[in-house]
Amino acid sequence: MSRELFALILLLAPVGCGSDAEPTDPTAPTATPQTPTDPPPTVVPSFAPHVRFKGGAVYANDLARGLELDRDEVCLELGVSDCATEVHKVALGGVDPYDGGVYKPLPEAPVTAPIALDRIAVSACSLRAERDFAAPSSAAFYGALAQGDTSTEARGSVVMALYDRLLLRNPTTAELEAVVGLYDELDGDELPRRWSKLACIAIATTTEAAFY
Amino acid sequence: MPNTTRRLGRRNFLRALGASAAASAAFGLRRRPLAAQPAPDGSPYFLIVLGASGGANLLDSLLARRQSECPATVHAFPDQVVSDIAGTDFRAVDLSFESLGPIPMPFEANQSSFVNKRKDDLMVVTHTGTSVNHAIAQRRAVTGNEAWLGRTLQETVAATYGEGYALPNVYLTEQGFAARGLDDSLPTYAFGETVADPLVWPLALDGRKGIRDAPTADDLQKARALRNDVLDPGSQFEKIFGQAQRLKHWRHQRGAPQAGVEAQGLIDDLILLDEPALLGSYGLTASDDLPALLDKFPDLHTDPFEAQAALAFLLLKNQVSCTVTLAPSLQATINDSQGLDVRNPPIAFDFSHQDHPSAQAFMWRRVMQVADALADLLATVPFGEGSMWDRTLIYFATDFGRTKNKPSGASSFGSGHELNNGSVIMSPLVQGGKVLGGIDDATGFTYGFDRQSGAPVPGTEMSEPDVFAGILQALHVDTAGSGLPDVPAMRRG
Amino acid sequence: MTQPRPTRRRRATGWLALAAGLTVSADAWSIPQATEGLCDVYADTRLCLSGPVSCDTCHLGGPPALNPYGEALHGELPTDAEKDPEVFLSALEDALRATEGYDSDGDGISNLEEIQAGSKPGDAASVPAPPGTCSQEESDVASLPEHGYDTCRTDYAYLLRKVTIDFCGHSPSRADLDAIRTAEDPDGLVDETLKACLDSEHWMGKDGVLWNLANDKIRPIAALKAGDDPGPIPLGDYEDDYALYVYSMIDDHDVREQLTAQFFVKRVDGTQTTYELTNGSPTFFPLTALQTIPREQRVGLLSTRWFLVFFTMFTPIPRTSAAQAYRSYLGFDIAKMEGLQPVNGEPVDYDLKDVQADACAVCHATLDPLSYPFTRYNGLGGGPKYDEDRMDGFTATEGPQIANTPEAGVLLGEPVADLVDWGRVAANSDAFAQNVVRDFWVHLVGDAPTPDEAEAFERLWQDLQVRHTYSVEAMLHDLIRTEAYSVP
Repeated sequence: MSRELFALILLLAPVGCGSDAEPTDPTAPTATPQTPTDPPPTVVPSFAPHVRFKGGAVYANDLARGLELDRDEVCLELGVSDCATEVHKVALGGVDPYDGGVYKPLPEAPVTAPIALDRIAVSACSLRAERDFAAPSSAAFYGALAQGDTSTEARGSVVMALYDRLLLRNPTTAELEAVVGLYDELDGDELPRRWSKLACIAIATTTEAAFY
Repeated sequence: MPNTTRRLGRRNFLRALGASAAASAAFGLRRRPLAAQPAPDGSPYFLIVLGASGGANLLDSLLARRQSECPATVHAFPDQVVSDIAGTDFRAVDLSFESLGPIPMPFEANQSSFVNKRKDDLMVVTHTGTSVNHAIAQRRAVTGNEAWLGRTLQETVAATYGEGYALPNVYLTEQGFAARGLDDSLPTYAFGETVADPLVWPLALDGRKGIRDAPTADDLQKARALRNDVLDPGSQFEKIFGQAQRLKHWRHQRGAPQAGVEAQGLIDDLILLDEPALLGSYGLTASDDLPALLDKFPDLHTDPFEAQAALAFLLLKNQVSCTVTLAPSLQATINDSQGLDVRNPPIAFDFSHQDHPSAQAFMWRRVMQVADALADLLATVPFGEGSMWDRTLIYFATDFGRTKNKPSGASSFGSGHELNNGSVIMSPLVQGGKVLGGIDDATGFTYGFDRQSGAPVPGTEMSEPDVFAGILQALHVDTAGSGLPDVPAMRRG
Repeated sequence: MTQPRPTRRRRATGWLALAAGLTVSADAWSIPQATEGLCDVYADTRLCLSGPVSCDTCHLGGPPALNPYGEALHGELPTDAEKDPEVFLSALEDALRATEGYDSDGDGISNLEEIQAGSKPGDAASVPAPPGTCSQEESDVASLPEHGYDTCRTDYAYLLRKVTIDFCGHSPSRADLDAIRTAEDPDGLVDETLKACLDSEHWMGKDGVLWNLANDKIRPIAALKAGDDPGPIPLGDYEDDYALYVYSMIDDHDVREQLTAQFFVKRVDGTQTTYELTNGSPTFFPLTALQTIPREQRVGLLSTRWFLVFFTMFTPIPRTSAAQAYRSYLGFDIAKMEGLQPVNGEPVDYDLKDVQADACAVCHATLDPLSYPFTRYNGLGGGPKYDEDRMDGFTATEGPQIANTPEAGVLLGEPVADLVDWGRVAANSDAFAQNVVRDFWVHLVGDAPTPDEAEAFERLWQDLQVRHTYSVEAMLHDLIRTEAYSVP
């Protein structure tokens, strides 16, 4: 499919349900953009890239806001303890001063850090998808898919919304095509539900989502 | 399980779990066999760095002096509490105390049973350090004062034997014994992975297992591949900031190291939580070894040091790591369920500033118990024609010694930091039953030895590089060309 | 420069020498005045302008082992310089000059160029940063909205995102980002956001950003906590310390109060956490949480109950307390041999700890006079109190000489009469202002100031002292506008 055609399809696609939110709420979603945005061919890299890890707490806050979940339901290990601020707190750049004597964040991310980050995203994205598929009429992201529309347009609209809400920008055409195309790589049952989770996880665990 | 008040970092988690102690039991059977064992020839050796934080003084353990042997101003014990260990150069102290310094808590500290049991694997190496600063001295205890391009013992062992291990070098403490070395030429996998809390850390060993409604492993892999191979490399964010060291490190960690961890299914091998029903409802299981671990470390759910030791064993047994580093916390660990029960005084051995004899006795007991349990456990794990213990070395690393003098005749006194001391090493790989060097009864100071024969040489002192070299050589690490001294007296055979 | 550059081979020989244990003895290359001497010669270089020069400029990790640059200097110094600091200092400049043209670490950049640029001449991994200027073409590209990040100038969307994350604890909304890209007064929007976020729980609440910056300074232990949610051995309530620390950095308060306050601060929980000044103890019951030091002897965070029971404990000469204060509030870690300013005639060794031994005296000639003003503040064993005659109580265990320990000491080369004086001198020092700004710089930028950022860093801490009258919030409004923070 050509990029132009893809963009045209998106223009005709339904808008994500997130646009129903109160416009006066500064954290509420705005209307989901409908066209990808491609960068110029040349890039001027940062001269002094002072990139920081968001840390577990901020990351989970952003995920909650982006996926319209309550913060305390984003990820609970064994159903009892917050992944970001309790169980994986130190691995994700936090401290444990009173009990563990960890006064400062670890100087480098341990191997478990990206795994723990994935767990948070897997939990939140799975919850979002399960909730939307259980109640398509009030779904935040996946209403169309839950109601059986697995068209490229429907998936493209979801990807646009996920980029808008999780990365605060439009996807590029290449990103849009890649995430939409993931659907075609899946075999077996419940493809819409599975793709919904995976699209969210892939975007929510990019370095762009975890660092700033 | 006692209703302890030791607050773990994730205390809500554990409170919610209400973890209960399991009955002692023999080893459970593994659900699946260990990976194929490498042949003994060329197969790894294992290093446990057991940090005796704060200054473990040899005059309070294997080199104890009797009052009849020393001037009244040199630290020594009543003659009757010091025993000679038959067939060795060692001594042991068995004492009862009414309090741990200012803490009104009676306790007994019996060393003789441990030393008698382990005498054939115990060795004392006398030496004199170069710093009385905790952080620096701890670092030098594992770098031999930067003896080999600034690399640490653990990094050297991991570089030698750790290729193919998921996490070759694991630090269960954040103290100076877990310092990063300076030799960046070592392979990346040689540098340590820090574990902040052994009880909950294993939950971060798999990206999806234990999460309800999570995608399958295959599906998750597809999402990750999309992210790693398409989305990230193509993103403007990565093009702008991709050269940042933090991003490079992150991308590295979520590559082969992460795959190695997840591929082994470690999340089920290493979980120490004792809540089978709850774990089961999330598709998880505790380590099969938990009953045996609770037998050796009954307080592992409340005592961070025991939790470290339990996880250290599992990391070695499951061939996740070839070197682990643990140390008693500098924080107080207190169980007040049945009166005041201090498991760990604040600042560990350094509590000797407050009261030297009781602090040393208490802490020596603590590290000896953990070392003994680890050796027992490793001896049950077949490896080649023997056991893992046959190929393991426990290095009681410490910062420095303590001042040797005391107010004349005093039985309770505080001590300062002292460069002169020595190290205890426990391993079938070393010259068991030996004190390399000696001690001057008139001053309490240790002196050196001949590196070849181990014969004591009064008037000389060994240094940090000697201990560093001797440990590596006992572990069959090739030190040729390193410039390190050859210390055959420290190794067996 | 015609002087030969050491080849890789020579460098390898140096490493082998180190590995063979052929380095000089511990007491030799532990000359505390070395970094000062270096900066006497290179005062205006970025190496010296960017803060304390670290030992690894010349040493491998820390003394005594030398890195290749240290070795080069060693080769130019007279042999007796190892033992005599005066000889060392008098010969240092010549040695420095003689090695300026060398490339000791073999990274292709001469030692002098590295010192001028602020990188380390003995570490091949440390090289001057490339000049961060955009060409016109690059500038045009970077400013395109589709480029995503304007890497050639302040990028207000990037800045807003960082400010919102750092100070409010979450990302801004897409609408906020879109708005600032077209705003007429983006600076005003950023200021407005920062002002609002400085009052957020994420920033100033319990366990918030400011609170956590104090962890390493306060070193809490739950088992020893008194007051609310006490541990099993309640000795003091460190939350009083956190409250004072946070208070000193909000609402245009004077951050020097960390070391000069003769009041306490009570945290009041609620939807919005607030901090209230109180002249009495924030808590009167239980007694284990009671602040007992009389007002005229209070020295901010250096005389709280927690500081005294935890750091001083029973110790006659509380070196741990002094070292902790020196590290936490002035940025000098004596463990790393930073901030060594030996005092003539010291250490005296009033407590007979053999601190006059060569390996000890290197640090104790600074540390002991630094510690004397802490000696009149009791910790455990009688409880926290100020006691002029405290040292008399130690004669039975430490010997009669302990009573001669003076209360007066020396801090940063300046005599101080007592701990109140210590706090005043420390709080007014450049080191304190640098340390305050460095804490925030490292937290917000993510790394310590680079040589290229040294000038901005210097301006910030100097402005904190004068233009901002020690208001952290005012300083932060400037910090977020530095190139390091605001330009992607």
